[in-house]
Formats: sequence, structure tokens, C-alpha cells
Amino acid sequence: MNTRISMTIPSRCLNSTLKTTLALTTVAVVIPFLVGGYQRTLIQKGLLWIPAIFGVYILYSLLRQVHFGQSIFIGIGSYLTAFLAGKYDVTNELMILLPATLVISIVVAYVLGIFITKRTGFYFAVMGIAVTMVFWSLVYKARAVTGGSDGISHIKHPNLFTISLNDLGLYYVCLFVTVGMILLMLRILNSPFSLQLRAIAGDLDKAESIGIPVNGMLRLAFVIAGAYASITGVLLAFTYNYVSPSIFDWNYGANFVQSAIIGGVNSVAGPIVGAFCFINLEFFISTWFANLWEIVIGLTIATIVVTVGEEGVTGIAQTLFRKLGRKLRKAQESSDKHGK
Amino acid sequence: MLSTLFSYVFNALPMVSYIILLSFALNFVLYVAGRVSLTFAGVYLVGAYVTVSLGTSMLGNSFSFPLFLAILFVVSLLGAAISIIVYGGFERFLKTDVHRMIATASLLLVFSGLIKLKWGTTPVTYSTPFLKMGSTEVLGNFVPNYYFFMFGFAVTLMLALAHFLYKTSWGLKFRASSLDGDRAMAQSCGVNQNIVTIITFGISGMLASLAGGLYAPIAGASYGIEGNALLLAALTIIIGGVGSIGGAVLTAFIISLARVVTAVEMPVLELAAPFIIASTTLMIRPFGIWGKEFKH
Repeated sequence: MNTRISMTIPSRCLNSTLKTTLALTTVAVVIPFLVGGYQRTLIQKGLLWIPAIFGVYILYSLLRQVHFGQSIFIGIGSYLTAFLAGKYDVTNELMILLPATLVISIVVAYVLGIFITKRTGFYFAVMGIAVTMVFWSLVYKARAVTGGSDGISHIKHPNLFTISLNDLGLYYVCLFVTVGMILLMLRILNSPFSLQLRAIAGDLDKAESIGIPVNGMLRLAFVIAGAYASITGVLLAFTYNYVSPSIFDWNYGANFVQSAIIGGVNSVAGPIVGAFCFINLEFFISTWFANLWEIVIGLTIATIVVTVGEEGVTGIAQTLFRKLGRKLRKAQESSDKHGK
Repeated sequence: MLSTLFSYVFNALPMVSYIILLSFALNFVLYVAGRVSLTFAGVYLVGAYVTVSLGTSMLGNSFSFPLFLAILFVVSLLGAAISIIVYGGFERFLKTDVHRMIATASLLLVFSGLIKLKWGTTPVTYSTPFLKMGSTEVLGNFVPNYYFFMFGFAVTLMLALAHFLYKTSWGLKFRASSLDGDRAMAQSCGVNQNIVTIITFGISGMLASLAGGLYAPIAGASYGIEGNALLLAALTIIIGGVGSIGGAVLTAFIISLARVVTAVEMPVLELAAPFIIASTTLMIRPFGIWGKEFKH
């Protein structure tokens, strides 16, 4: 069985990870003043994808399960926002919307998780695809409630503590929420919970025999991924100002898995790198070769999986750094010998 | 009352046939070759589009039954060829189930992107066979003859496959290499696993493209039908279990009847009905109603 146990971050490196996060956050805080509005929206979209990809990451790197179903929860978050802030005009206060979406998505994820996590592997993946297509068809057919294929537009601007946010304000809220979720995810990945998930991935029966509640842990991981995705969904609805049933397309859910693979699932920086690589790739290809997008991304992922496996960009970077380090050390040793 | 009941059954016939063929394409690969592969949905898509384009270009509005059968034959060979080429050139190198799932799902994107390049996203139709075959009156319902043709075709194929698997010596070799048997033992007894896997993928591609080709005169071919196909095949596997031909046929009936009944009574729940059945089955019998507990 392929049980490559890879440490996401050893605890002694936590400080350097936090420092890197701080550095990147500072860059992200300053960037809106250096680039134009369109680039800022692109960066915002990339930031918002990171938590959703972390959901895929936690299920892949710790449990070796492919989670095609993140689109379910992004759709739930987006449609809830569209209903409450757009169509039914109940509230557009972020401090109400975010906790409400969190609670609703945790309940939905818990209920769906009972069925979806019953069998692992292939069956988990296709149940994810099935559930997201079921949601698609429900939303598409219930025209009176959801607007059907027209979708819902005219979502009001969000309010934060009753202060109305313009685009720049929304960018900073997205940045703040994303960084918070990344820090929380780092904490989760360095906890005994992640070790228990790794034990389940290693050998399910042995894990069960030492007392790990396998089903409960699987469901908890699924709920965490779903909660992350739904918060992303709320902010994405405000960013795009439009939701349509295509947010439940299984292709959209597959995009998150593809971003995770591009970024790499053996390093905690993988989802972040993967999000920005994917968003930029999507932007460039849709601008210049609009009708080749699916072929390009499909072939890219297929090639990456066959050649590099799941290491992705961060894995390649790690291998390069290691080889470079070894070469430098060898050069230093030989120069020491010759010098003497 | 009885005629409404039978109307549900007759209306479900085309969906039964197409689910039988599709789910068996996936089932066969999972069971005999022991590999996860999602390319059958892409082959389904190609089969539908090729049938439509061959039909409209070669036959147009006239209809000749032998030529239609010839088109279906060509489409099935094309499907088998695509499936074998994708296996030999690409899927062979994927080592774990997770890699196979992600890579074949991305390959589905490539298939639908290529189809979109050639035919765009507007649906194409070829309903001449469906219209020209007429309809007969059975038990108070006018049923198009094409439904009976499609159902008969699917059942014949399943019977042929069952005969092959259970009554021939090559079928014995296939069953020995399957999940029911022991692949390593079969190899050491002289069954060439490469040939078995290649033929398995060929049969799976043939079934998938025939599903697309047979269903094309009824539903046409449009962008995004491979997601639906993937969904239905996977739900059938979950409900019916891996490795049983009779189970696959009966599960196809269950799912199609559920969809047809909900499509008439409560259209909103049409796709939710198979999912609800699948969830219930997962709670009661996690390995499928006719499935066995394979260490998969």
C-alpha cells in the first residue's frame, strides 16, 4: 500500500512558517496600492480559493481521499449570501452572514458526511461528484426560489459592523479571513487530530483497533473542509456579485483538486502556491486561448500526475533546493580540501 | 391504473438500457482489471457525438436500419480503440487509485474540451431512427419501437457478456484475474494479465460508446452529458455493487423507474431520487445490494 508518510511541518519549523506567513501577508496588504483594480480582484479570488483548497489538502495529504465536493459548500455559502443579501434582502451584514453560513454548512456537512464517508476511496470521490450534481439539479429546477439558470445578481455590498464596504474594504476583509483560516489550519495540521487521520490513512483496521473513531474522524475532516469552503463561498458571492447553478458543477469542484495537485500536497505551502498558479493559468489561458481552457488544464494535470505524482510545484521546488544545497556543500567541501 | 404503471416502465426503457451499458463499462473495469478509471464517460461523449455526425452526414433524413447498425458497429470499435489507447499510453503509468481518479477526471475535461472545439456547446440531434421506427400500442400506451430496439440491444449485449464470462474458457481466465479471484495466482498459472487488462478496457470502451450511440437519437448530444453519465454509472455501482451482471441490470431498472416516476410527479427531485436510494443503500448494505465485500 502506498503509505508515504510525509511530515507537513515539523514543529521546530513552525516559527519559520509563521514568519513566511507574516511576510506574505504584509505583501498582500500593500499590493492594492501598487496594482490596478483588475489585478486586485484576481489576487482576491486567489486568496479566497486558498481555504477551499486547504479542505481538499487536509483530505488528500492526511487521508489520501480525493474530495471533489468542495463545490457543494461553496455553492451553499454563495447561494445563502445571494438569498440573504440579494434576492430576499434580509441582511447584508457580514457578522451575521458568516456565522450563520458556518452553522448551516456544518449541519449540512455533518448530515451529508454520514453517507459520503461511509466508504472511502473511489466511492467517496464519486459520492462527492454525485452530491454536487444533485445540488446543481435542485437549484437549476427550483426556478421560483433560486432563479434557475439565470442565477441571482444584484447582491448588495457587504456591511461590516454596519459600515458599508467598498471593493477595497472587501479585499481587506477577504485577506483577513483567509489569513485567519490559514493560521487555524496550521494549528489543526499540527495537532493530534492530524496524527489520528494519518493513522487512519495508514491502516484503517489497525487505527480502529487502537481506539480511533474512524467514522467520526472522517466525518470531522469532511465537516472542516466543508466549513472552510462555505466561508469562502460567502465572500466569493460578494466578490462576483453573481451566483448561478454552475457553481455546483463537478468541474468546479475538480478545479480545487487540480489546484491542490499543481501546488503539491506534500507541503503546507502547496494550497497557497496552487491557488495562485491555477488562478493565473486560468486568467492567461482564458484571455488568449479561450476555447482551449479545458484541454490545457486537463493535459497539464494529467501530465503532472503521471510524471511528478502529487508533489506539484512545491515538491519540485523542495527537490531543487535539496539538490542545490547538496551541490553547494560538495563544492565547499572540495574547496576546503584544496584550500588546505 | 395498470396502464399508467406500464407507461412508467416503458418510458424508463431507454434510460435502463443506457444505464446498464454505462454502469457495466465502469463495473467491468473495476471488477476484472481492479482499476479505477473514469474515461468511460469521455468515450460515452465521443460515441454520442460521432453517432450524430455520422448519422446526419451519411443518412440524413432517410433511414436504413442496416446502415444504422453499421454506424453503431463503427462507433463501438472506435470506443474500444480510444479506451485501449488511453489505457496503453497513459493510464498504465498511474500507480495508485488516487492518481488514477484525478488523472482520468482531468482526461474527461480534455475530452469535453476537444468536443467543444469541434462542435461547440449547442446540442446536436439526430432523431431520424427514433422517428422512422414508428411506434406500437402495448397495453394502452404508444411506445416508440426504438425503445424496444435499444432495450433489446442492451440486454443482448449483457447476455453475450454473461455467456462469455461464465461459459467460456477465456471468461474463466477473466474471472480468475478479477476481484473475485486472485490476480497474482492467475498470472502464475499462465493468464497473461496484459492481454486481459487490454481486452477489459476495450470491452468497457465499446459498451460506453454504444451507450452514447444508442441514446443519441433520443437525447441528442450536448456539452456536459458526461458528468451526468459519470454520476449515474457511479450511483449504479454504489447501489448495485461491483461484479454482478444481474445486479447491474436490476439496479438500472430501480434507478430508471425512480427517475421516471419523480420526473412526472415531482420534477425538482429528479436527480435527487437516485441519490436518496444510494444513501439508503450505503446505510443498510455499504457494499451494494448485490455486492460482495472485496478488499478494494
